[in-house]
Amino acid sequence: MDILVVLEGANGAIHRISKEAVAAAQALGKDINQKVSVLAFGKDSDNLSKEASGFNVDEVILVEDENLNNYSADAYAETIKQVVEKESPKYVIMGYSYLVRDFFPKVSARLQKPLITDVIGYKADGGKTLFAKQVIHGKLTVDIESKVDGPVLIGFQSAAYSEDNLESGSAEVRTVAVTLDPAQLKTTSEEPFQEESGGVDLTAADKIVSIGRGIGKEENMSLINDLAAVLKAEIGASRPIVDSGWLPNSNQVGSSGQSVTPNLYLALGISGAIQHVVGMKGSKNIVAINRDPDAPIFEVADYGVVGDILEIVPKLTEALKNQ
Amino acid sequence: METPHIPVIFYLFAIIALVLFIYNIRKFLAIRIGKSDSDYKIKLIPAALNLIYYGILQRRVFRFKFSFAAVMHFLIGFGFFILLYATAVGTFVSRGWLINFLPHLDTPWFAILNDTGGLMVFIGILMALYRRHFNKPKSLPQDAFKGRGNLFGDTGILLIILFLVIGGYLAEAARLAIQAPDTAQYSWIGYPISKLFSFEFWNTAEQSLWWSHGILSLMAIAIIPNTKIFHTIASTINIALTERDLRGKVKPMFVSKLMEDPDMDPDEISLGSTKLEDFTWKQLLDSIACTECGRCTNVCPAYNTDKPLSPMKIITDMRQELYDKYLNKKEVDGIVGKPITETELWSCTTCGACTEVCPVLINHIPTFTEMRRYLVLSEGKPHPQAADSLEKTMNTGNPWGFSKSERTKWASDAGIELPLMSEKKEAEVLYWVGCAGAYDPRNQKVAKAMVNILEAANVDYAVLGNEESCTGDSARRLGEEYLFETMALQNIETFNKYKFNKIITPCPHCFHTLGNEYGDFEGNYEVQHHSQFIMELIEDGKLKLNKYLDNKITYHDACYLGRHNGEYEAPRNVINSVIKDGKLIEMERNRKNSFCCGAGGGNMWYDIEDGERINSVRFQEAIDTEVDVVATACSFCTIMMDDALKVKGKEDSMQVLDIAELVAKAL
Repeated sequence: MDILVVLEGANGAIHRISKEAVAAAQALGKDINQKVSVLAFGKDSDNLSKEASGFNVDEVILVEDENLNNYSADAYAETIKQVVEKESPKYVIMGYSYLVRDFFPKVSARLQKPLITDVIGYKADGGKTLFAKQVIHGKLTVDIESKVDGPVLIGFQSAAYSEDNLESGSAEVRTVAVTLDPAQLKTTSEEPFQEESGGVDLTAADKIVSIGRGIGKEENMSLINDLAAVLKAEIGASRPIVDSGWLPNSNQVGSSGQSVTPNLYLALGISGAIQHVVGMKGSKNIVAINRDPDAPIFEVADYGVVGDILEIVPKLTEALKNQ
Repeated sequence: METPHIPVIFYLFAIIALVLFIYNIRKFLAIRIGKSDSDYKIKLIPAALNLIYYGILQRRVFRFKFSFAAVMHFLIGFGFFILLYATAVGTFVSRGWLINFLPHLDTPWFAILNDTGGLMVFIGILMALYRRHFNKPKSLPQDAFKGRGNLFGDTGILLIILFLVIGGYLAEAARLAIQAPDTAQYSWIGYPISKLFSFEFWNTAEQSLWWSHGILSLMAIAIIPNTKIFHTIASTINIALTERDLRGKVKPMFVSKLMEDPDMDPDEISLGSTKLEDFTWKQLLDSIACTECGRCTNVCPAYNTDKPLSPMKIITDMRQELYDKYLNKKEVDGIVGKPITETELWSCTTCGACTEVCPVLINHIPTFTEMRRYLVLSEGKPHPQAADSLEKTMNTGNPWGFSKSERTKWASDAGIELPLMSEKKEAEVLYWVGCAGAYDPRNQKVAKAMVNILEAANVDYAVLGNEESCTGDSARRLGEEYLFETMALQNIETFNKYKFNKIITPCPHCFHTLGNEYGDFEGNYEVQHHSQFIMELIEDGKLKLNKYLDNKITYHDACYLGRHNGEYEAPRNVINSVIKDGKLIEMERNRKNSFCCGAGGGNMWYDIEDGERINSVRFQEAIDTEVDVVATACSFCTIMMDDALKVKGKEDSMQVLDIAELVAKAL
């Protein structure tokens, strides 16, 4: 086996970040002429494997074991280890989500093989494959090459690749058995829960519509919801919006909120106070709309519109709907 | 006058009471668990002054004049002083000691004084009972019968004193009725009582009245250390021993020296404090001295916005654990985590309001900081959002994580050529811009205004430019002492390369850290806050103001300029010099009683989610003064007030301006 992508489930389907990882693997596979397989296990392994059989991959490996029905870092790590030992892939790839951060390093330790985390891209360069990751707060990008024989573990950063590039096709599902000794599983987990506030993980978002005090009144918030729905974007906010109680804390972007790096960051009526800017300046495309032409947000924006968001946003929503 | 006949057996009871008193007061020795404090020296004169001013005169109790609690405490406290004096005189006179110097028991004024003292206590106790059972301030323990660690609760001792006062009057009435001295009618409460009943009644009741009053008195003495009255001893000692000039100053740990020490055993050292043994004896004494009056909690900005912090709770939690360990021999592992939670500790803005009002001079902030140090340095658990800014401070020298090489971009973008220390080597004034001035678009305007002022007054100044680095203030308040030290040593090294007379800075946090805390690392400089420096320029005629501003202005005190450094007037004078009628409008809470903006103590870098925002509450107070400008003198306050202005939707009618911006407008 050449490349193995391990899938992560979310609400009974394949997690977006795993689809991005498959897209990345497909691109890598083409460039270095290797075949891509995927591995499905866990509570919804059936659904995952069915969904994955519609991808353009070599095969889908399915592991079914009752010890995997609830998340356990030990069980997950051991499963991947055994599959890797049986199938000996050259690359083991996952989307580096928060859950994966919890157990993927364990796989690395159990296999005694290197793990490259938060990878944002790769270079296939005359027989060498280099993986790029950012260091020193995103100020530098380094290319890393594994000098070790056998599998190297790769964790792709969220939104490094787009799920839109995922190639569909068809693949056979093959079941593989693992042996998990419950006595060796030292951790178990409770049922997953969502915070009462319906906390959103903005750090994994591909598009964010972010709103500032320029919205004026709470009633106008519906304009933003409409736009976000059309764009399929998450909603972010500056601190004054959260302080006004119009959105929960989990939507706050900035130094006392979340630091985000989406592909598209739409800053609406945000003046660009330092507390906010430090949380979003790493976004790939920043579009700002603000009444004040001197607003500091335009310093970090790639595209800027000077104007009233109450006028522009409904028209923008309409235009996107008609597209 | 004849010596009253006191049976021998009473003296026996008195000895038993004294022995019990001594046994009960042994809990004082619990402070021996604490660390010794090599910096601490008892200074007799300040101790005596503290004792008179804060102890006997109870200056802090009467801080908010004529409050219910102040009047109540005045009546009980001074009533007791009178009774104590009267009893002492009574004892001496009855034995014929100092007879020529002391007033006799039956002189008119002594009789008046004695009865008045009793009445004061009586009324005071009734007020206290009313307060604890009907008024019920929410910062106090709600079940007054339980009282934490107090025998019979807070109400118990009040009732005992009430019975003592009543018993005292009855015993006095009996004596007056039986002995009928000439001056009897001067005992203006005891005398009317004596007339209520016949001579025969008093004659039969006298013995039992005297004995019940006597025994109850002895019992009360025996249990003093186990009741709230213990504060008359513990708090008094604490008041004498508190070093007022060290208030709010955090002790250095010298982490780098510790790490270079070849004999250092990593298993042995404890960083920060969680075990009772980690605190100094004085910090433990602070906890014993707490009277649970709730003043600290009442003024706490975190508590007032429903965040999970009550300074009093932390101090009394500490005491409870101390007694549990020392008296009840319970295993006490550490107090951070349980009973004192992380969120309580992170909610503190180190604004110093608690320390400012504490009537028994407890020094809260260094104790809280010690516990934060434990969380950060020993457990590796800084507040998760703050961790990010700490890391950025370490990597880039500023808490926002901007590039070090862009520290003067604000000036070059605006076409300002800043005089650099690296080129001039020498200047009269070193202008410390601070990270906010360098990177935050809002505070960059303040930095530009400062340059205008410095140029207009022809000041010989220079900046450090890219050599400047965060002073480490937030890191230190957040418990990251190692990072603070790293920043301090690095900045001191930079300062030592150049010649200057003084440092000026528009940030009170930099001002406090550079001026009060770098000295521990051999960095001694004259540091001025820009308000002080600008005021000097105006007073010396070096800075000419050419116009007055038409604004109505209020001033928001910065905690680290005001409470922590006592500078209330300079910023006010600066503001008044730019307004036509020379009078800014004060907010309800100002100067020592000012209310924090919510950003101090590292709170700039994270949000405690509970309750209302501190800055919104403060800004509402500014709105209530009906001004159009809220003047600030701190980079953090400016950011926080600007945010609150947006939350309150006052973008079109009000503005937040630093005093330097106001002055630059008036040039």
